[in-house]
Amino acid sequence: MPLTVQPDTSGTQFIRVNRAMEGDEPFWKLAATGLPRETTEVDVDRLLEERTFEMILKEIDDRISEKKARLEKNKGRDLNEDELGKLEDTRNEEVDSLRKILLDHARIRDFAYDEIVVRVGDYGSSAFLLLTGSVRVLQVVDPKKLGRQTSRRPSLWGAFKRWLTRPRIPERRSRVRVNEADLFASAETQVEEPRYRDELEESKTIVRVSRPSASRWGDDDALSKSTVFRQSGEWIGEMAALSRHPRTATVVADHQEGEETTLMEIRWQGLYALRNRWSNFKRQIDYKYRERGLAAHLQTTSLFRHVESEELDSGRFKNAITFQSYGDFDWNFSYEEIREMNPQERLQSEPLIAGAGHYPNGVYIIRAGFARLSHSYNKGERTISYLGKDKVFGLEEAFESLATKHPVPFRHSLRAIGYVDVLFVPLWIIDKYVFQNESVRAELESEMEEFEVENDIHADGLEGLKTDFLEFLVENRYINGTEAMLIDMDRCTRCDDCVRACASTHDNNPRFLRHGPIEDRFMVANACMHCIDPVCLIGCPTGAIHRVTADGRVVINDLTCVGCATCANNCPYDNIRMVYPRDASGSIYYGEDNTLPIQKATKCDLCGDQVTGPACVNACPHDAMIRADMMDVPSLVDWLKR
Amino acid sequence: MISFAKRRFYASATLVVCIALAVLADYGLRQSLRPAAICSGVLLFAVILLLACFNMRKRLTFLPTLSASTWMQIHVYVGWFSIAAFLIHAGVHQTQGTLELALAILFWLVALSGVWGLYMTRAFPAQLRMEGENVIFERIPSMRARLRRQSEEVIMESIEKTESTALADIYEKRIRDFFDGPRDILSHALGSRKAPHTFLAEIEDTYRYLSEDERAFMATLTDHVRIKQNLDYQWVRQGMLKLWLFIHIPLTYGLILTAAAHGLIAWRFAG
Ligand code: SF4
Ligand code: SF4
Ligand code: SF4
Repeated sequence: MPLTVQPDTSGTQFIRVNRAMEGDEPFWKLAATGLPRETTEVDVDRLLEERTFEMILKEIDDRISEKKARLEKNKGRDLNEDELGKLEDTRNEEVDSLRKILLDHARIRDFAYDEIVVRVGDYGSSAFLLLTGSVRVLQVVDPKKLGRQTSRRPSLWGAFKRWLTRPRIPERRSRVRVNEADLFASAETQVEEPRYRDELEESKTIVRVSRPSASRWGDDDALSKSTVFRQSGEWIGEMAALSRHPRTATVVADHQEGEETTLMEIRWQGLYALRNRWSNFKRQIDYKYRERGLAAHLQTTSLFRHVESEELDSGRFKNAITFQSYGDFDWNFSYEEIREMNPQERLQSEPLIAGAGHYPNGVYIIRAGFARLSHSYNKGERTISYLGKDKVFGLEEAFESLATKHPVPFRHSLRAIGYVDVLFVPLWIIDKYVFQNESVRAELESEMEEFEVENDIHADGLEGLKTDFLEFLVENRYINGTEAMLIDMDRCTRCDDCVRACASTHDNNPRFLRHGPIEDRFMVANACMHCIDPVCLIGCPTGAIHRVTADGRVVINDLTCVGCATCANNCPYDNIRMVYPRDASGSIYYGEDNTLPIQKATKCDLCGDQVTGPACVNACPHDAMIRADMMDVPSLVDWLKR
Repeated sequence: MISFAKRRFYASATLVVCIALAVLADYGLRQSLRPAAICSGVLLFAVILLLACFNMRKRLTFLPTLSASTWMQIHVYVGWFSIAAFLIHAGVHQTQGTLELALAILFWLVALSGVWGLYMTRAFPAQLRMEGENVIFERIPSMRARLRRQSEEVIMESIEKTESTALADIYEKRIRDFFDGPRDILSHALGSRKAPHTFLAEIEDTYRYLSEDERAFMATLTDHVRIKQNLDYQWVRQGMLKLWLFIHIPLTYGLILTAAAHGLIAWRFAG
């Protein structure tokens, strides 16, 4: 369980302030551009007329009717007025909760022609519902045109000033919640407001143009290959929002002259709330998630990058490829339990996607999540490698089968670690679009791993990672990290220069613990890994914890954090600490509403505001520390074997 | 990524070249009757200042200067170079005057503490890892106290369950004091296993006098002793890694001040 930092409060003055509360910051207040536009009851009335929400209302009515029928059956008579009134109240409560979700988590946004709704590559934390006008989905856009922002670094002067004025008291804050004045300041002022920078960047428009004769996103030919959605009620970006993955396409507003494009944007907390509460909504959204995920994803894979998009979008293709999900979407809740298991039990808990010895009639492409590649060894399984997004399983066997015209069995097994989305591509598609295409085949063959893995537990796994270390990374799911903190314990002198550097750049309190499990001679320290699948984001009631669009860091907006510790409890790696902020005199901020002190969640922010990058790594004098991307195995092996 | 072996090779080669150049330059200056001592003195002082800058750099965490590990490499090799520069400047002859003597003593103390520190920083981490569980230095006293508390709970439980005070007596006479604070400090500092082994052997000798139930409690207690021995080891060794800097750094400042005084005097006399 995450630690709650319990500062010594003896002799401390308390100052009472308004506590930042859940629902304090409805989504509309975090205006994407310009002044915030409030989501009103009238807006909600309008939204409830959309088919998506009509279906929810229908589900509510159906539930009430079912309940009524059940009650009448039990009682053997019609319900009286009182009882009907109670049922009506229940219905109203359900409808009110739907309205509240929309009021808190949705906002209405108008888009100019050609304005970007979502950008490919951005980490999605919200979905859009088309209300009026139309939008165009562009699969390929020149990144320059998208005005990709590189992560902003402050000036050296700024870093110096911060260093000079670093607090002596840990966790000093001048404010603990957002001021109304900030929210209603002009758009320009908001852009300057650093606390809002990330949210603003997330959906900031690049250029607004009046209706042009041609789109700036490409010529007619390019545009003709893109999809246009004209119907209101279309969902956009729900896949990225639900899977917490980067957007797969760019979507721009594309209405006719005299029209307007208006969309409802709902943050993913709202999307989850709707999905968990009403099965009609879940069915709708999951269907689209699967349907749209397929074509969009295929175009980004090494296997099908060269195939025309019409071909990929064709029914033949779509119907032949299956979209499968394995494991548990909320894997973080079973993480501790699974870690306690012995290796055999753990293996049993991982759903088998494809078994060694099975004859493949296709290949698997990992769409999201992680899978374990293993080989049986005596009574157990020896892990050889782990596969992440876009990795293909079974291609060598497929090529061999096609070349020899004899089926070749899988040499390894593929198991789901946590939650995995995979695409199963049948052999005939591989044959037609990959194997028959000389240049693509040659390219893929040159990229293929040498699969001659010795069946010896002492031999290295694929890509040179030692088997024990590999098992350790997989079993503890550290493979989720893009910035995992590894410490070489044979070089680390325990000098704590890293800890001091982190504290001196972060409110005089380090954002990590130089402590954690050790395998071989390497420690995975308790520092946020900025995960591929950041489960800590799930359930934050205010969206205070989020991904920074530009560089994928997972950060916490201190002012909108309500201190509920949902993120800290969700992080399976125990990398979020709750702290008590203090004012300049050292007094703990204390809620006016009750007797509890105000808490804030804190974690490593990868020193996004430091000119030097991660201060911890920069401060280690003994080359003992690295922030490692676990999917970049060659670089990891390079570091491990220095 | 460049391997440590390669890095060591390139850095050592550069060091040898630099030392050779310094020797040649000094020889050349002496042959041409130029003020070689002043030149080598200025070089040595500059080198010492550069070495001292490392400590400053560590504090200025925001500065986008080279990483601390690069600074460390520079510090180590420039440190070796400073020994050569000192020998070039002062020669191996006897020093004259109290100030020069103090300067020489300070220099060698700083240099030797540096070499000792380098040895410790390279050798101790692996030993710490292999000895037992990795612990944070600052937490050791509280972990020690907790262990003592848990051991006493074991004793109380044994009295209750076995209705005998044999274990409590052994604890009182032989073990209690061991949990009070760090023990076998010298052994751990020297890396000797003798004292900890002897203590464990003494405890194991008592098993023969215990009943089966008591032996089970004693086994838990023995585990606690082993954990405590690791805590002591970690405390002593990590303490040594921290302590040497408190010797090396103040000595360096003393050296800089003395060297500056020596420089001023030399300059006045030269003038
Ligand atoms: S807080 Fe935890 S789950 Fe979230 S990104 Fe960091 S390590 Fe991953
Ligand atoms: S990257 Fe920065 S915030 Fe994160 S642990 Fe290192 S010093 Fe701390
Ligand atoms: S700065 Fe480096 S050597 Fe010192 S404690 Fe941190 S990781 Fe270990």
